[in-house]
Amino acid sequence: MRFLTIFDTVSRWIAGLAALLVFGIAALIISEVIARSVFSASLSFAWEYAAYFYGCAVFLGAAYTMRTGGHVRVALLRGTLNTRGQHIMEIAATAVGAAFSIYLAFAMIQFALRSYSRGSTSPTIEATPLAIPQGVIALGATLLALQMVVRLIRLFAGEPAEDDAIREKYTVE
Amino acid sequence: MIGYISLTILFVLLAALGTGVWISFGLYIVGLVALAIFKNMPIDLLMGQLTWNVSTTPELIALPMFILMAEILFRSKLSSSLFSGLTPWTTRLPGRLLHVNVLGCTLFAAVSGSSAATTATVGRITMTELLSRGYDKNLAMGSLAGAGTLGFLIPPSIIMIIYGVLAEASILRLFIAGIIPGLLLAGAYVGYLAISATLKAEVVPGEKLKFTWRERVLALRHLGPVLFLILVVIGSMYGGYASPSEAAAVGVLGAMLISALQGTLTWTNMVDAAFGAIRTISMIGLIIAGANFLSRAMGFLGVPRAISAEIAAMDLTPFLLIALLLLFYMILGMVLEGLSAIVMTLPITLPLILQAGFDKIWFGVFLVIVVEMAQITPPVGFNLFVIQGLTGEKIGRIAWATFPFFLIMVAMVFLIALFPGIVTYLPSVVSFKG
Repeated sequence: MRFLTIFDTVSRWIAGLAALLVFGIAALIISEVIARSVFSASLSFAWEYAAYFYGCAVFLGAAYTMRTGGHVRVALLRGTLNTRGQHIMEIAATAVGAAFSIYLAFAMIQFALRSYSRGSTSPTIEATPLAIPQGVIALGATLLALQMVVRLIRLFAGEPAEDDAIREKYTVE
Repeated sequence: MIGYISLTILFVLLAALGTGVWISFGLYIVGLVALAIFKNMPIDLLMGQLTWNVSTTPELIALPMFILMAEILFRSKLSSSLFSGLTPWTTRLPGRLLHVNVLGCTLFAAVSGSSAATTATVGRITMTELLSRGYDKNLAMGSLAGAGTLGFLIPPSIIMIIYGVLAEASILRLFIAGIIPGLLLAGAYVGYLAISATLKAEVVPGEKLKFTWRERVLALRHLGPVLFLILVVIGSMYGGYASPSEAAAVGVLGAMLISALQGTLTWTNMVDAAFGAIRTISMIGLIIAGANFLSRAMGFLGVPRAISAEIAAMDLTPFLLIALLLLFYMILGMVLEGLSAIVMTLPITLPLILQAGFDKIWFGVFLVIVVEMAQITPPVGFNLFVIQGLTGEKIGRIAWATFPFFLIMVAMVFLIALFPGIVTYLPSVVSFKG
C-alpha cells in the first residue's frame, strides 16, 4: 500500500515543524534572559509562548514518534507467544491505541472549538486567543490518530508497522 | 466501593500494559475507564482541559531544552575531549583508566538531564578505548551502566523536573538536594573500582601510561568545554540568576557554541539532533499528560486517600515503609522503564510517604535513585540497551556486570533513609530564587 507513505511524509514534515518550535522555545527564553539582564525589561510574551510551543511540539511530534517506534511500551506477555500470537497481540494493542487516540483527538478538537466559540483568551497582557494553540494541539492529536489507523491497516496488510531505519539512527532516548 | 475501584484500575492497567499498549495511552485509558464506570461526568471535556493545562506548564519548558542540549552534545566531540582530559589524572589511582567512566559520567551528568544520554555520550569513546587497551570488560561495562545513571541524580535532571511538576515541589530544591547523594554515589563507585583493581590485578592491563604534571595540567584544557557548560547551566541556577528553564535554554546556546568550536555544528547534525529531540520530547510529554490525567481521575475517585488510610492503619514504622516501597519499586523497575514506574505510582505513594512524615524533596531524591536502579535492571533497562548498542554483548551479561553497582545503589537508598540529612541539608542552607 504505497499511498500510505503520504502519512509518513506529512508526519515527518509536521515533526520538523515541532522541532522548529523547540528551537523557538530556546530563542524566546534566551531573548527574555537578555532583555531582563541587559535592558532590564521583560518580554512578557516569552514565557507564555514558550509554554504553548512546548505543548504544540509534544503533539505535533507524536505521529512521527509513533511511526519511528519512539513511544515506550512494555510487552510482558510478548516473549511467551509465537510469531502468529505476537502478530495478533500487536493488532489488538494497535486497535486499542487507535480507538483511544481517536477519542483523544475528538476531546482536543472539542476543547479547541469550545474556546473558539466562547472567544476565550489567556489571562495575560497578550490576551492570546486560546483556540489557536489548542487548535494546533488538536491537529497533532488528529495526526496521531490517523497514524494509528494507518498502523492498523499496515498490520493487516502484513507490512512492517514501524520505520526501523530511523529508530536505529537514534540511540539516545 | 473503593476496593472495586482500585481493583478495576489495577486490572485495566495490567491488561493494557501487559498486551503492549503504549504507556502514555495506557495511563489515559485507565483513568478513562475508571471515571466512565464509577463517576458521572463529562470525561472528554475533563481530558481536554487537563491535557491542555499540563502540556503548557511553564516549569516543563526546561524539559525540551535539556533534551535538545543532550542531543547536540551527543553529536559533538565532547566525549573524546572528556576522555583526553581525564586520562592523565587516573594513572596514579588503582584501577587507572577504569575510573574514566565514573569521572566522565559525573562531569557530564552536571550538564545532562538524562541517564541514557549520559551513558551513550560518555560510553561512545570510553568503551572502545578501555576494551582495546585490555581493561576488564565486566568492570568497564558495569561502571558505565552504574555511573551513567548519575545523569538523573546529579542536576540537571529530567526526572526531577517531572517529579517537581507532578508533586508540586520546587525543582531547584530537588536539583540542589541531588548533589551530595550524587557525589557520594560517584565516590562509592570509584572506591569499588579501586578495591576491585587492588584485589584482582588482572583487571588492569600491564601497559602503563606516563604523564608529567605539566601534561596533566595542560590536559585540563580538554575539560574546558564541559566545565564551561557546567558553569553556565548550574552556576546560573545556583547563583540565583536563572530559573531551571532559563538555565536550560542558555545551555542549548552553550552546547551549540561548543559544537561550533569543535566543528560539529553541521546542518545534518542539527537536523538529526532536532528530530532525535522531538522523539524524546513527544514520548515524555504524552506520558506526563497521561499520568496527570490518571492522577486526577484517581483523586476524583478518592483512591489515594483510601489507600493511604489503609496503609496508615497497618502502623508500619517509617523505615519499614521505605524498605517495602524500595522492594515494590525494584520489582516494578524490572518490567517498567523508571519514569513510567514513578508517574504511574506517584498519586498513591506520595500521600502515603508524606503522611509517614517524610519530606517531599527527600522522597524525590529517593525516587530518582530508584529510577536509576530501574535503568540497569533487566529485562527492561535503558542503560543496558545503550551498552548493548555499544558493545554488542548480551543483556544478561551486561546486567551481571552491573550488579555490584546496583548493590551500591541499594546501600545508598538505605543510607539516605537512615540519614535523611544527606539529602535535606544542602537545600536548607542554600538560598536561591524560586
